[in-house]
Amino acid sequence: MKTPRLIIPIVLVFLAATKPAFGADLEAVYAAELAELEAERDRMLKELDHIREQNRKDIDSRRGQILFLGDRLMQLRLESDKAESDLARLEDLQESGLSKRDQFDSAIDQASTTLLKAGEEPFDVDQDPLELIPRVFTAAKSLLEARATISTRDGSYFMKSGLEAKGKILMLGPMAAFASGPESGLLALAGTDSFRVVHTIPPETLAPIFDEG
Amino acid sequence: MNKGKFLTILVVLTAVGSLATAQENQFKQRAQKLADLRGEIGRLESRIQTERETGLNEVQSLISQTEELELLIQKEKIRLKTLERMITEKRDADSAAKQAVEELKAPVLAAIQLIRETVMAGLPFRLEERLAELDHLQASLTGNTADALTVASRLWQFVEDELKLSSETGQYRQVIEIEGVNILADVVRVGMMLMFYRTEDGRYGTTTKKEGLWAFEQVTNKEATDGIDALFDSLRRQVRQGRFNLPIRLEIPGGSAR
Repeated sequence: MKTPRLIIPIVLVFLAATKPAFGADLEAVYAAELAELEAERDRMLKELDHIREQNRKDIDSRRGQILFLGDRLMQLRLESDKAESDLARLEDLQESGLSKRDQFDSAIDQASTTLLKAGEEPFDVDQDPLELIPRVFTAAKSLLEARATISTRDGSYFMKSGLEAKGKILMLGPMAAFASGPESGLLALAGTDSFRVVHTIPPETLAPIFDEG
Repeated sequence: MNKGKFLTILVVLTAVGSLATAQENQFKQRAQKLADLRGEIGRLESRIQTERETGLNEVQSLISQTEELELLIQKEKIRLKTLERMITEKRDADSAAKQAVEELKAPVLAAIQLIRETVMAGLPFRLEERLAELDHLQASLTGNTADALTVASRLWQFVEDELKLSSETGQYRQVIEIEGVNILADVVRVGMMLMFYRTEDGRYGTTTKKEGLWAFEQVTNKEATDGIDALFDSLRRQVRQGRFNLPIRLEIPGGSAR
């Protein structure tokens, strides 16, 4: 009677320690948990790889774009710099053209003053240079010829006595003037456009000049 | 007997205990493994987050650089476009101005010819030098080294110089041709009307114009040579005005006046 009573607890303890149903449940729970965690870890590792790969692609793509844009900017800057230098050259040319025009206008102003002073008809200095140039230089030619020519005209002059006389006046360009009339001789300017005899010369000495003039 | 049973029970219990300990260890190991895995997953989660953020930050920074570059490109494009427009305007204006100046070439060349004719017909005073100046103006215009406006301006300066010559008297040294021989002589130019010369060997003369051609003609009359001497002396003393008895040979065949 005593033996069965002792064996029962031992069996129970053994059963409790090795109960197959309890162990199998635990094993299954553990395996499921392990598998789930491992799957999760693997998924995360893949995701990490994917993110890294995606980042690398995105960054490479952006860097490529930046390199492209940098090159484009550099190219545009080179073009702009060249254009700026071209523009500066054109501005210099234009300035030089304006300076030449100023120089021409100044020469024409000077010509106008000179020709007007010499008795030429006044002209419009602002007219088209195409018309202005022939006009100015034709007048200049006439003036130069006149200043190298003997010319005679009828006119009045003052004799040595101070009396006015009428006669012929001969001009050796702008250099000398002679009178032939009541008193013949060398003339000098008296005022701005009058002459007076400063040295008498016999009429027969001057006659050949007046005849030719 | 009781002792034997007791020992049996003790053995059984010891075996059961050992079995339980082994199982407990296995549970502990498995629990540790699960805990390690969870830890690893946690770290992975953190790394994923960090990786995402790092990537995002770097991409964001690159996007900023891209936007900045795009903005700079836009600005540069505007700058280039503005410069190109200005260049086109300047080129158009320059082309029109060049065309206008080019049209002046023919009238300026004609003007040079007009003045050349005057010089050639005038007093033989340093003729070669004066004509060379006109040749230079013409060459610079035809050779495009100077434009018509510049040449016209210089031509007027030449005219002014000629006008100055025509109203001044001066003494120079010049090679003149006397009876077919070139000789270096002192000359006095009276405006552009007359010239007188005096040679080292004591010959005197003046210019004459016969049938449109200028020549140097010797004078031997003492009064005339004295007059020329007086003129030379006066100019040497810087006296440029006065009355002189000079032989004036005009275009009168064989005639002269004083």
